[in-house]
Amino acid sequence: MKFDKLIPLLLFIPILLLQVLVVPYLELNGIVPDLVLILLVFYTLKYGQLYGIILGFVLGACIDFSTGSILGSSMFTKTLAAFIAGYFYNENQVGTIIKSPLFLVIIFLAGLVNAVAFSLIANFDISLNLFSLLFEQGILPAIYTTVIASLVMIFSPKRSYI
Amino acid sequence: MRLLKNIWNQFKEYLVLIFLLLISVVFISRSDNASVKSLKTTTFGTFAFVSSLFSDLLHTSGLKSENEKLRKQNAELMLEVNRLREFGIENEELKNLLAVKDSISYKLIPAKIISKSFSADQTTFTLNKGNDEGIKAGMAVITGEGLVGIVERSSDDFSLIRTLKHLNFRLVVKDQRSRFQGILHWTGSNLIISNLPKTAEVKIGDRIVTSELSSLIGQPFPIGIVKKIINPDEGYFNNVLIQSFAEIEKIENVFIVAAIPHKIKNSVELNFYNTKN
Repeated sequence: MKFDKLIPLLLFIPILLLQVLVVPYLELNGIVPDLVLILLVFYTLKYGQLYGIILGFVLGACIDFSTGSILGSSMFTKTLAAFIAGYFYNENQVGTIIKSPLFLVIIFLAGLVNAVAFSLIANFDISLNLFSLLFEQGILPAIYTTVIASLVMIFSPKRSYI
Repeated sequence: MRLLKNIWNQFKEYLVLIFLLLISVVFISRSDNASVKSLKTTTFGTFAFVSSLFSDLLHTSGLKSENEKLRKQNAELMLEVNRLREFGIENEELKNLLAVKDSISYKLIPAKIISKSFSADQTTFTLNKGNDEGIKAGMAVITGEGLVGIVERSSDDFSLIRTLKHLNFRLVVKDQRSRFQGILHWTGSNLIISNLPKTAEVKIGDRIVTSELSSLIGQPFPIGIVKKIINPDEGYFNNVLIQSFAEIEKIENVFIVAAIPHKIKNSVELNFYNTKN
């Protein structure tokens, strides 16, 4: 059981590699899906809010240290996104939520919070355009991440290995 | 004690959340700290090494050497054309000074982008060349079209590029025609020269190049053209929207200009790249 909880950390490396090597080819007008967020939400719904918060912080730290983003920005946003996703954790419905459309709704909400928080942290010194912040930098990346998550859901094997 | 235990049991998620968010905020505020930078360089170098192993599998490039040669030639020609434009304008204004202007030669280091970190606010690239090739923080990164960004940090074998589309990127630029200077920055959705006086003669379609006044890039590299002039009714300043020449999202190969200009100037001026890491 304890080892199971370390699996997302092992999965994180190949997923981050996909994020920086393959995902740039999927960019649409500068918007890309966030694969690490899908991993984070999945395991938050599997193991609970507290676990998700800590996992979000650890994965965010790894992203910040291994890419050029502002140190602390991903830590902050991933922690917050996991907290939001954690509200939907239900001990008795772990398997069903992950395989239901609700999972995509949660991905969208967590993605929105993640993207908006990221923009707020990075943009704190300029006059913010609320439409741009919510739509271009919040909703669009969240939708794109949700679309990719739905593809993962559709094409993932019925039997769970992770 | 029991009370504390009750509080913990009831609010542990919130307490842990607040604690971790506070740590994140501390990191954000200390991201320019020397020891943090050093740790970041080490971890970035390690991850870049792993990325490069997989990058070669993904990027199959036929006629690699010939392409590289042509790209280099293209970039050199772009710089030459840009220099000639500069000379042309200066020739009209300062014919008598043209004779004493130094000739500048650029050493270009070709490099491949092995990974990209995309976000609306902070786009960075990792290159497959580093300190061993003579790359240093602060060097300009270009393509045949124009400026892409600057080297933010480098390990022995890899470099991290802060592109034009990064919120922490600030650069002194000028309108090549009217010679007005301004500070270019990325807002998260647009490249903008902000707070340009309303009296500045800027027209749509004007070429924007880096300014010699810049302590980061002291040579005139092309950046883009003026796409739109935002002219608010109130105040004394305009904002100018820039369309960059280089298509940041599609770039796969770049050149690093192996020169940090203003070396003498930098030794007497405050320049954040000269602070000891």
